[in-house]
Amino acid sequence: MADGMEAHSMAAHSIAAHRSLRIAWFSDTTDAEGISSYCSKLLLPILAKEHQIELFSESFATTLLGLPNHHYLKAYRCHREQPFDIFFYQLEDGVAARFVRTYLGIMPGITWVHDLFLSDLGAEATHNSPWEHSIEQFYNNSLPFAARSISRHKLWPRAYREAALSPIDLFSSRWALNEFSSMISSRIEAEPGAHRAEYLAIPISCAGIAAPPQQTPLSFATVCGPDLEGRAHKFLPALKGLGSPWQLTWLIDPAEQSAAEILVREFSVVDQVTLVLGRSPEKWSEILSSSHVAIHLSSTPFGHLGPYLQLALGSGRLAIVSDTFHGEETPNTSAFKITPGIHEYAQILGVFEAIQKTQLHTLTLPAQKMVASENDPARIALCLSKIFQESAPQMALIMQRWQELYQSAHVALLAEVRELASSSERNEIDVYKELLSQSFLELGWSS
Amino acid sequence: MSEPVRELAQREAPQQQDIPTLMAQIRERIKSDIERNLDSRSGISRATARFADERGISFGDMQLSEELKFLNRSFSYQDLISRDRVTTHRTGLLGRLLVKVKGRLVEFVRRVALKDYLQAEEGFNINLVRFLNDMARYVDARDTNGLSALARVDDEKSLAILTAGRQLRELRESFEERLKTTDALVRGLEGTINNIKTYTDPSPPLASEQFQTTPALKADTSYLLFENRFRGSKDEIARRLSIYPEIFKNAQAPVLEIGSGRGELQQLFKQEGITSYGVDLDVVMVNVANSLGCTTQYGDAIAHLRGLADRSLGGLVAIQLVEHLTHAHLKELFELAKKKLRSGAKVAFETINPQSVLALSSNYFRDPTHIWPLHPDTLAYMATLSGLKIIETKMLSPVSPNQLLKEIPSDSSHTHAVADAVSKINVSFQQLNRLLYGYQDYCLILEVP
Amino acid sequence: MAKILVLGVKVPFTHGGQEVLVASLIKKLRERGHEVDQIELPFNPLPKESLLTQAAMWRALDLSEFCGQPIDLVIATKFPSYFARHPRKSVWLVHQLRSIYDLYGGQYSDIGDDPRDETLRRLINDGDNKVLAECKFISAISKNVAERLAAFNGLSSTVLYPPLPLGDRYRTQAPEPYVLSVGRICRIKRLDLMINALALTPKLSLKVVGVVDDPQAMEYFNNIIKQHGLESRIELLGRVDDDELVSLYSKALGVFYAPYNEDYGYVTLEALASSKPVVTAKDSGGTLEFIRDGENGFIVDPTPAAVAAAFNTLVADSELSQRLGSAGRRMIESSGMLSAGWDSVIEGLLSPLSAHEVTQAAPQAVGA
Repeated sequence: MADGMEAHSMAAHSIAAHRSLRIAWFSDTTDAEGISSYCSKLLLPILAKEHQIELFSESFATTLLGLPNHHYLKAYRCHREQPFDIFFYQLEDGVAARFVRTYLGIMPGITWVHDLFLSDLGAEATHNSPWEHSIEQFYNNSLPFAARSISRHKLWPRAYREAALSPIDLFSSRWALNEFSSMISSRIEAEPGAHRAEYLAIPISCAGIAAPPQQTPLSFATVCGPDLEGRAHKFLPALKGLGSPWQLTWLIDPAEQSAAEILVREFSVVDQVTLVLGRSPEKWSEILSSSHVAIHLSSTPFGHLGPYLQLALGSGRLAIVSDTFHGEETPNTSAFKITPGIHEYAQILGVFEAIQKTQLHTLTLPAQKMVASENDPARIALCLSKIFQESAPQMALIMQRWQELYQSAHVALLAEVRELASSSERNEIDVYKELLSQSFLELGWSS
Repeated sequence: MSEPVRELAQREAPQQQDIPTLMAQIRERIKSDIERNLDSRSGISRATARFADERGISFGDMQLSEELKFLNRSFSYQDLISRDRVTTHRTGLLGRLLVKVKGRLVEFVRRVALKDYLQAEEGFNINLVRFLNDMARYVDARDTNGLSALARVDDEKSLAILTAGRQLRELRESFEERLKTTDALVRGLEGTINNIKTYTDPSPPLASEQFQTTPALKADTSYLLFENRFRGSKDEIARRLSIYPEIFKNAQAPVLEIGSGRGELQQLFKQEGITSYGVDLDVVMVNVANSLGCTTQYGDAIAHLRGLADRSLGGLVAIQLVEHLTHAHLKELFELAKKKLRSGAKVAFETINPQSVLALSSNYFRDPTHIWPLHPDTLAYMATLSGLKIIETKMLSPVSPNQLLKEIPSDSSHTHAVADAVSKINVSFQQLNRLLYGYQDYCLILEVP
Repeated sequence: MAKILVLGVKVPFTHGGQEVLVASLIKKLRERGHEVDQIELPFNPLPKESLLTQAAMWRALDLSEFCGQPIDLVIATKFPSYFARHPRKSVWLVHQLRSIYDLYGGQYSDIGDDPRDETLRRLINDGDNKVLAECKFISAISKNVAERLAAFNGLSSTVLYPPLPLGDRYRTQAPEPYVLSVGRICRIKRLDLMINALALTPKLSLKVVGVVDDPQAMEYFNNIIKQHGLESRIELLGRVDDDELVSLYSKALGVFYAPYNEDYGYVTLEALASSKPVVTAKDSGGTLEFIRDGENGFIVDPTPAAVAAAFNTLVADSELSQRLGSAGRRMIESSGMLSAGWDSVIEGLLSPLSAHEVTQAAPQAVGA
């Protein structure tokens, strides 16, 4: 985790002028659970002071989060009328953020990747997307367009397409960045070094989370799902094995309720476990206020541990994480790291027992300091702003070249139309020329 | 996690332990538990899991179910068709007669008419019940162990996968690090070679003349020469020089060492009873050598050789010298060797092996008076052109094993894919080791015909 | 009175709510003494590029006069008919080309992120904006459509709900154990939800009114029917006449109408007018403007299990079915959609005329 990977150490192509930029902000803002929504809420108030930001979403509302909002399908018109300097996307798994995945293929920009592994194939429009071809055409204008309707091999679940279509990818997980650098980047670079990938931490606000209460009974909190990856079948028996009194608050999705109840009954911990429905950072903050230890043992490449983990660490709670996937990047001075496997139960029990015997606040200090600095919203907004400033000239060039690609597409489309309308099998006259060309001109479809 | 913050945390609570320490203690404890076979805590808790399904049946209950018990008791119908069970409600003689008749009938039915069928049916029922018993046992066993078995499989597999994955990643990272260094090395090489090309000049002055005109340079380079010649500990030096007495032991006339430096080899020759003397350009070195009882003189090697009588020497040795000579001088040196040595006398030239990138980067390029890296083949070729006979090209100064790129040990937990990848990586490492960390010096041993 | 042309878009061999709407409009206009006729051009959604040529074809038409008789007003309802040129153009928007708007990015759209597809989308979007803005009166058949028009095309419009085609002929009778589904048989109407649900509602059968629009979809539905062995419980009635339709509505236990993001849906209102509860889905769009969960129907997840659960509830609790149905009828009556609705519709659509002199009906030209 070299510091060289951090966002603020990018080489600038020119001295960045600190001017106010027009930014098109594509992000879901509705999903209570979503990370992009959480980040938008924390960063936009700060960034909007410096830049002109307009939101693009699936909502018809004219304002969102205090800023102008448009339906994302109108983005091209807005850009035409008053061009944006940067298109900024937040990529996340889930239905609410699908539109971001779709529009990434339409307009290049800077993407903040929160989820590198996507649990579904996405919108139908992206299934047979000729994105690899489009990238090649971007670098080589003379390439003809891809043949229509070929069934393409869908690369999945890693977000190859989405990562490739942005010239600059920011990752909110170092693990994901590493995955990207080792697995994806070589595959998607049409030109070596054309792509830039860096780490940018998510902002965290622990405001509103009270200091930890008295240490007995020891209070645990978790947001892991009741599936195998959530490791509930490991930590529940470990909790059961604790001698002194404890309690656990389990924040879950309503759809997971029955599965969670079955697990709780199976390990006979019904009296000490409370299920709370409706996952969101706000709910989690409430729960943390009355907890000491947060359990984040989820071992899966899907999903993101933040902001839940960081909220726990930043507010002075002890955390226990898996040392796999996203958990790898948590420093081992910040949280107890468990290796899943045969000895997982023993490790977890060992940790719980150790926690019982120690003064919590001394153990939590390093993590708190780390979150306070690394996930400080003001600092991240500054980083992001700097990235915008420094990449604006490059993005301008890229958008222009992309524009040229679209001009070629227009020409190609009109050629297809003419071909269709002038098919000599059906007509002796050139239908396009004789009947339609006037209308095309009048409608602004040809020039 | 930065060190200062960690130290800060420790300073603030010197008695308390921090998270990594605690975690390490836990892991240690587990490890020792396992070693002492106290793994009662490993695996999932043995606490009975009561899994309630819709009918309220819990684990282990199937075998005890009433239905199965009944079946086990009553699988044979034959017993139902028995004489003893024949009754009638009629009384009196008629009754008794009827019973008898019925009884006979029943016997007949059972023994004769339905015999085969009844037997078959009984057989079928026995088998069915046996099967159901087995099923019940199986289901019970699966129910209790099902979750733990599933979890265990998941554990073992996931541990293996994770370990393999992590190993692979570490390999990749160390590989990339090394690759970066090599990359830098090669670039340095290219740069330096370009620079060196500007050094070569058709008829440069003798090295001695060069030094005389630039005393500062002389001081600098003699320091470097010193570094180069005497790199390593006394033992290493002694080891490196040990091959030479062997080569020159049958010398019939004095052996000349050009570039004799502080006289280590001279001393060694003296010890072994080989008559020798040395010539060196560095006055300081010459004085040092002579003070130790050697016979060395100040002078330029080639000039000295030119001044000797033909066929007067019994041997010629130059350690870390020929790379300082220009092509023309080197050529001349070979010719002089042929001329000034007796027939059958040996010539030994030791120089840095440019096939080893480490030697080049660490040893060769330090000295700006090195003219050109002398590949063993090149030097040998030049020797043969001059008519000298090649006895041997001895490779010297191998790199210590702990400097080499380490191969990955194979592990029984590796899957085929992983083992395959590991062996490929190892082969690559071997290749790289040969390229980067080959022998650092070599000695060309020639004989004057 | 006025000479009016109603512009229709016809996909040959199909018949749906759209056709019913246009037919009703023409009938009502004639009842008020106007001279009305319909112009239709055939429409083919494939290949994609032909969308441009078909819109351009409408644009190339000159509808200002025929045989010396000027046309006072044209009324358009669908893409691409509103591309036609006329100084007095009204639009009563049923829907635009949905595959580039609300269906974009979903499984019902074939427009992808290929640069040519995106260019096509932009051209049509720009075209829509231009030609719709020319209209002297813009209205939409539902709030859904009006909102989309505002959000996608920046145009504000009046909401004019289409009155029910059969006016006050709807009635109710004692329910028989069948579910009624009315609508063109194609993927977006999601008949498969109901077929799969039927496997979970043993006490009910299903009657389907509607013509096949998409043979592939029909094949798929047939497969599911066979899979679950429901041949005896499903009746495919095709097209039925008005009386039969009213009768089918009146005796149904409930009506299934859960298309994906529908703009309007006559079916919903016909069901309510017949005092029958409607089972619809959370993403059915326009129907949600009229159905309230637990008040006059059920709004469920678009899964067979949820749909089946809703119908099983109706079967089990006849008092509840009754209550939901009556509430629906009351709602429809109070909204005035049963018959009085035509006045405001026609007033709006004809409003461009008030600024222009209406020509008297002239003698027909020879050979017209």
